[in-house]
Amino acid sequence: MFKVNDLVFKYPKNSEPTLKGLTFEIAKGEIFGFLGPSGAGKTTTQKLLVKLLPYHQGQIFFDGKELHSFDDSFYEDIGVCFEMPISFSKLTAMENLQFFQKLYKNHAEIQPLMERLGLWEDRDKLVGEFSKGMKIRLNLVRALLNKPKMLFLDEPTNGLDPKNARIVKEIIREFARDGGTVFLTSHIMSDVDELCDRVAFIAEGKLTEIDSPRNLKIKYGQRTVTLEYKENGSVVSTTYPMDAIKNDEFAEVLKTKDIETIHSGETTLEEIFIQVTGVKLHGED
Amino acid sequence: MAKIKHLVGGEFTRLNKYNLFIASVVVALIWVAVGYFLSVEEFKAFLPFVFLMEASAMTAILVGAEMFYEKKEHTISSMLISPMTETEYITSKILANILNVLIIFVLIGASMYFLKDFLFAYHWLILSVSIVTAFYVLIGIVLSYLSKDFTALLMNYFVMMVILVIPSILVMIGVFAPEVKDILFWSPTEATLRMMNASFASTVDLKQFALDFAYIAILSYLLFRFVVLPRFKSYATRDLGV
Repeated sequence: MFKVNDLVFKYPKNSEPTLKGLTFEIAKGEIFGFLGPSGAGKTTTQKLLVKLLPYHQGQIFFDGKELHSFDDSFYEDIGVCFEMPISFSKLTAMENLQFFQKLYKNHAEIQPLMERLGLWEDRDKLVGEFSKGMKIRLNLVRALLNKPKMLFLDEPTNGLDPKNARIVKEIIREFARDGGTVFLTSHIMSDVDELCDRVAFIAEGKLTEIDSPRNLKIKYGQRTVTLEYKENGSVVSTTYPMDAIKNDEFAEVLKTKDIETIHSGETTLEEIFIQVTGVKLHGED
Repeated sequence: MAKIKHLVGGEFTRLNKYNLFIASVVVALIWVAVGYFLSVEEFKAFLPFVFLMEASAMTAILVGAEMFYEKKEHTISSMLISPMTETEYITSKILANILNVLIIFVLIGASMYFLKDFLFAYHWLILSVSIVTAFYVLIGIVLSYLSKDFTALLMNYFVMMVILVIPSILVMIGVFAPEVKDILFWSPTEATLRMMNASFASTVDLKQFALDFAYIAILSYLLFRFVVLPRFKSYATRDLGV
């Protein structure tokens, strides 16, 4: 769906380029996570992909054609869900959606989307009276108004309660299952792990890693299995190399001990994020 | 064309919902109230000031306020990722504001007709209002580019008034000597006043009207082409965490 070749971008006022030769592809129907610390070039990359920044070196292809060859009809196929609320506060939710929808040729049905996201009852309420979570959910409806082929999602579950976060994730999965492509940015690593087919990490304008969450967890994890079991009233933890689990010793422990937990040594995306970008999450030191 | 029509409709709806249209109507009613206490001759002398304030000063601050709201609520970014061009967006803003100013002038005109039996030459009025409002819509957009917050917008608006509008008002009320009017001859405000005067003057200097119209049209084009359009996207996407 998107193919990016050696993308370099420099803001006119900066001496150094913000993006230093990014190359990646996003396949049709894929949920592609794009992760990195603040200032790494994530936002700039997304702005370039949605044609909000004009000049760049390198090539960006969308649906096989160079992005700059598209006129504004490009946006007929694109849905963007911003992190911050993007609605007219003195218009009702429905007035907002109807206004934006009429700018497009393709129209999704508003009612089922709003019902699913728990907004239908409040459709005639001014958006200014909405809670933050409601505004974020309304953003997703706005992004889906034109039945896009490609969705750009920026922190789509940030500020949502677990129930609504789950609904949003279900909608994203269904969108991809129906052939839609998703470019997702989030600092909630559990969401990324749950949703993304592949993730790319960006740090200081360069891609440092790109693969499926599973492969990355195996690559950056340890090939070990840790067993925890009770022995003489206390918990004993023993770690075995993955290759050793066929041995008699491992089988014996499994057979004879009161096993409480079994963990493979794969790591988490959060650990990988810290490792490959060199920055901790959520403002940690 | 359908898209422009929809965008103009949206602009006008928002002018209403954000009470900006009502604010214009209230100001117009104040002019009508002032006009009520003046004789027809006094009212004629007062009219250029009314026109100037409505079509230029009010338009610029109104557009500045609209842009401020749209930026604050990030709706301007949402527009940018829709299938419409920046030119369509700016054109719709110009058309909606022309419509707004025309409604206000028709309100003032109708009131003065019933109160003082005073009639405007509406064809000149529509022509003048259209081009002058377009110019000051673009000035309003430039003001919003230059302003980080609403206070800065008001400050920049004040600076614009001091440079563009106030000298002509001071000539009009006799604070500056009439000779200053010659120095200000090609200021956009003086061109505006000359065009607006055509809508109630007994005779119209057609050549001067055409020159003034072309002058404001060229200034508007230059402002649009070399200032407003090139900076629009960067202004709209500034502080945008897409």
